[in-house]
Amino acid sequence: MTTQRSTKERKSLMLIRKWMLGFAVIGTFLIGIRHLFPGEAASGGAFDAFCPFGAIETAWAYLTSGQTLKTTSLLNFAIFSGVLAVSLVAGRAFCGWMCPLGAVQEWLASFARRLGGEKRHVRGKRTKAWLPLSLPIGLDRPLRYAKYVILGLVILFSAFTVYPPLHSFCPVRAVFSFKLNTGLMWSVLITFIGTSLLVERVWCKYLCPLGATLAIFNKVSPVRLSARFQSLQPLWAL
Amino acid sequence: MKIDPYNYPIIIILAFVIGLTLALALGFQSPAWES
Repeated sequence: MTTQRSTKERKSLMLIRKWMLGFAVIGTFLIGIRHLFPGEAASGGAFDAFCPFGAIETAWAYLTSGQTLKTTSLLNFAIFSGVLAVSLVAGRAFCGWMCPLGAVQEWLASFARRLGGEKRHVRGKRTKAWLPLSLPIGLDRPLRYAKYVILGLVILFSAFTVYPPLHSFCPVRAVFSFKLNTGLMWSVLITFIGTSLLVERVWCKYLCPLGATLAIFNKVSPVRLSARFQSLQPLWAL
Repeated sequence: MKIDPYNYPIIIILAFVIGLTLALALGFQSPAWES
């Protein structure tokens, strides 16, 4: 009885998560599509101004000169505050429940599983599909530290740049901003799609500097999805 | 302490909205929105 109830709960919760990720993707697309309409480009600022990580990129400039980097604004700090509040309460919940880039990566991984021969994937179960690939632990473990290196480099370079350090390489801009006006942006988009098909959530696991920032709060956040809930027991612990 | 699993999305959405609203109220907003 408990198992039946918790299976239903788990499915409902996963459905809510899908809806939340869907809203995040649609919302980010709408922010990106604004500049395709006449007179809408400046409304609310550039695409970068809505990025939570933009706050970290522009923090040094703002603290030392009172000015934000180009394409960023004080709005970045507001969005970051929202993400920070989520992280203080529930660790990296933002990454799994609200991040549009994470959602796109999940969809690409799901598509890759179909390409790899799996018709229906049950979350948490070992997949039979050969795609997406799992990196060997010897490679996976050290690569997970790369995002912390990227975070450090971004903070370092943010002291010397006019634009946010990730402005030209950001996969969120490549996927959502509809501004693929450089060869580099096209390369980022193609690399992002290719690697996301090969390895599930490759950007989140190994490269995302926002994820590296939020990981700090995993240690202090009181609420998290209980591992026991994943195995169909509805126990949540504070 | 146990909490209802359904509260998890509500908690994170509320946390996001409260954090965002507080920061906007403190003046952290796009220059285009300032009155």
